[in-house]
Amino acid sequence: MVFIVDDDPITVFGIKKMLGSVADCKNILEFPDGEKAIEQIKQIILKKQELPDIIFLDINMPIMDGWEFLEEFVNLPITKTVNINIVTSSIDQNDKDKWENFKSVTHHPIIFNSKPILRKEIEEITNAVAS
Amino acid sequence: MLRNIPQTTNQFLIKQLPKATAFIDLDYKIALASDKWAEELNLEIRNIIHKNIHDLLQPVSDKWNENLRACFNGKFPDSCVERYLDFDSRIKWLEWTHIPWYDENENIVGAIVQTEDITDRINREQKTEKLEFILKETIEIGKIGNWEYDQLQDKLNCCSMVRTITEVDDDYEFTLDNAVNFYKLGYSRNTISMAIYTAMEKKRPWNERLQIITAKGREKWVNVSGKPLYNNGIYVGLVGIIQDITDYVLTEQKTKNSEHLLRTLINNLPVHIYIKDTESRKLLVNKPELEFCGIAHENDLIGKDDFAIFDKITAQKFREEDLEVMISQNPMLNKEIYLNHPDGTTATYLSSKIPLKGINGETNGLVGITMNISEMKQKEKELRKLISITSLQNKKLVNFAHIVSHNLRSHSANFSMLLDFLTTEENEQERIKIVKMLTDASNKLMETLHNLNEIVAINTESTLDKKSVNLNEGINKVLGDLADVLNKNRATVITEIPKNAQVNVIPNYLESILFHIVTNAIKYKKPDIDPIIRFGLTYIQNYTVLSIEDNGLGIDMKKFGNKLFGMYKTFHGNQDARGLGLYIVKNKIEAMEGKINAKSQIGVGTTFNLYFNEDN
Repeated sequence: MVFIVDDDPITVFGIKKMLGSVADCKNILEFPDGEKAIEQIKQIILKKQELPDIIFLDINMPIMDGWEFLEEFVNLPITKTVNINIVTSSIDQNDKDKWENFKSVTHHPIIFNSKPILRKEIEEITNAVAS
Repeated sequence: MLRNIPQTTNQFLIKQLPKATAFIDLDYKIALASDKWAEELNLEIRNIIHKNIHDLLQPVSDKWNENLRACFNGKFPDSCVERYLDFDSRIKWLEWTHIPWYDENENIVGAIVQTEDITDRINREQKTEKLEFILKETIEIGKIGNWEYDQLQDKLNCCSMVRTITEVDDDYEFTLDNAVNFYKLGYSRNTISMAIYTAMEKKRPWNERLQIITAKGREKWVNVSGKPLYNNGIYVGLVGIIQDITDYVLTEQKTKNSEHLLRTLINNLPVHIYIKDTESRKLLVNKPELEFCGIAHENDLIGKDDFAIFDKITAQKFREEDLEVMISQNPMLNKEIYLNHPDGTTATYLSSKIPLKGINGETNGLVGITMNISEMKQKEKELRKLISITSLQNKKLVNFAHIVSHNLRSHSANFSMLLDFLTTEENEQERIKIVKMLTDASNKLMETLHNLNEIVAINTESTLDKKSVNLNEGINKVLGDLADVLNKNRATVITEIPKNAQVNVIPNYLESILFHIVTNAIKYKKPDIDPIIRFGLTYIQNYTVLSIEDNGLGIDMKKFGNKLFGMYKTFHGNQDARGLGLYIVKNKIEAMEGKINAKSQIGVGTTFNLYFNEDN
């Protein structure tokens, strides 16, 4: 299962399109902001359903941004390894520092990708999860 | 032999001798004596004959006895002068002359002793000696020479000191003319010539301080005085003294120069300087200190303490400082003090007090140095303000640059991705979809650029002149523009603002701010409740505060409070929220040197407070 958390419909379209061409992914859920995504994850934990394998996460979003989402996410009791892919247009060193920081406090692998996201990168990500 | 001389005749003759004379036989006994002798030695004449001379006289010196014995041996010793204390304890100086006494056969039968009271002479001699010594020393130490002019011989007699002063050789011959030529050309020579003339013609003495050039070409200061001499009313010459006062004058000039230098220095230093005695009375003040005390003349301040100048509390404080410094002998350095001036202004000073110690280490008073640092303080304040503004601007700029780069990068990333899709996409339906997305993206980019441009404009045109605007008119104009929207949403607007309330604003900005906030209130109304918007006015410090309260959805301030006025932040998931309105509002109010904050509660409503800066 794949979560795409991004308020930009074009990016969502792009990721979906690339995923469709490289892997057979039926289960793709979209969220326009971090809050909606974290609510869904909390529901899943409560209902003991299947957590996503990959989360594509935007940083700049309204209501709850990517960092705030991660802040809550890494503190949730999740034993499964969820691959987090940060997809952002930011090249700010601050964001990179935050990424490094999150990487060190969680068992979930976190990758930092700058836009535009490339088909090759999506391939690597999904392959890594499949294997 | 004496015995052969008719006793009575001899006795009678000798008694009458005008000089004090005594005849002493070889047994040291008085054989004969004149009345004068007894009188001179203060003895009773009748009781002295046949008495031993040593019993009669007070103790005499060995020399005296030697002389007497020498006479017994036929010698003529020199006279001797002896200090003699007579029976009344009076000091006398006596001159004794001893000569041998021969009888008619030229046999020595004793000694003739003559006594002369020379006390007066001795005293005079001593006095003269003393006077001579004093005169000599006075001349030497005081460098005072005397001179005398004899008109008849046309001769100027000068003592050796005059030669020393004028540095001429011992054989130099002074005349009145060449003496005058020693004086420096100009004032000195004119003055001495005039003084001599007036003395001769008008019998007037003089005393002048003049300059001479010595024979060796050295310049000297002299004090020269003189007076005319008359003999039976006829002018015969001049007498006077000349004193070398070069050292004194130079020292005096040096002292004057030093004092002048000190005065100039302390009067022109940009600090207040004063010296106080142990009673805290001012002994010396410089000009700035006078001005500081508000007193025109130095004499009105000297001798006064702080109680005569400052209010009692201030003066008491200063006195305590003075005492602390003088007792501990530790200086008080750069203490910051604040003073309220009579004209209502307050100034900040740096005050230092340094104890003045005497030769024996005792405290004689203190030196005070005060510096007005109000201007520096003000500058410091301004600088701090400037730094805070600059750092704020800088923060804004970084934030802005970050947002711009992020936004533009995000758009360009989308373009690049969509174009990549387009080149490989073969499905016609999908191609149309991608092209539509490209068009949307392009429009969004245009809009973003437009918004950024607006923000840049606010930040660069902040120097626009503010105008006083009637607040009610401003609000009514915006409400008029929004009438359709308000009516459609059945909104109620309550305005509780005094009719004549004015604010200093850039009118366009005021309208745009109000427009945004009112529009937001409508946009985020509760779905089932008609919106109520309430305008209120308060004054806080330098600000006129306009509050705009609504009964809308409210915002979770805990979550979003710090982002409310950020760029591209939306809070309600509203599709047409651009996340830019409040950012622009904030920029506009800050451009007018005001500020904005908000209070909100979910389900209750939101209140925006606009602070209009009424400074200037």
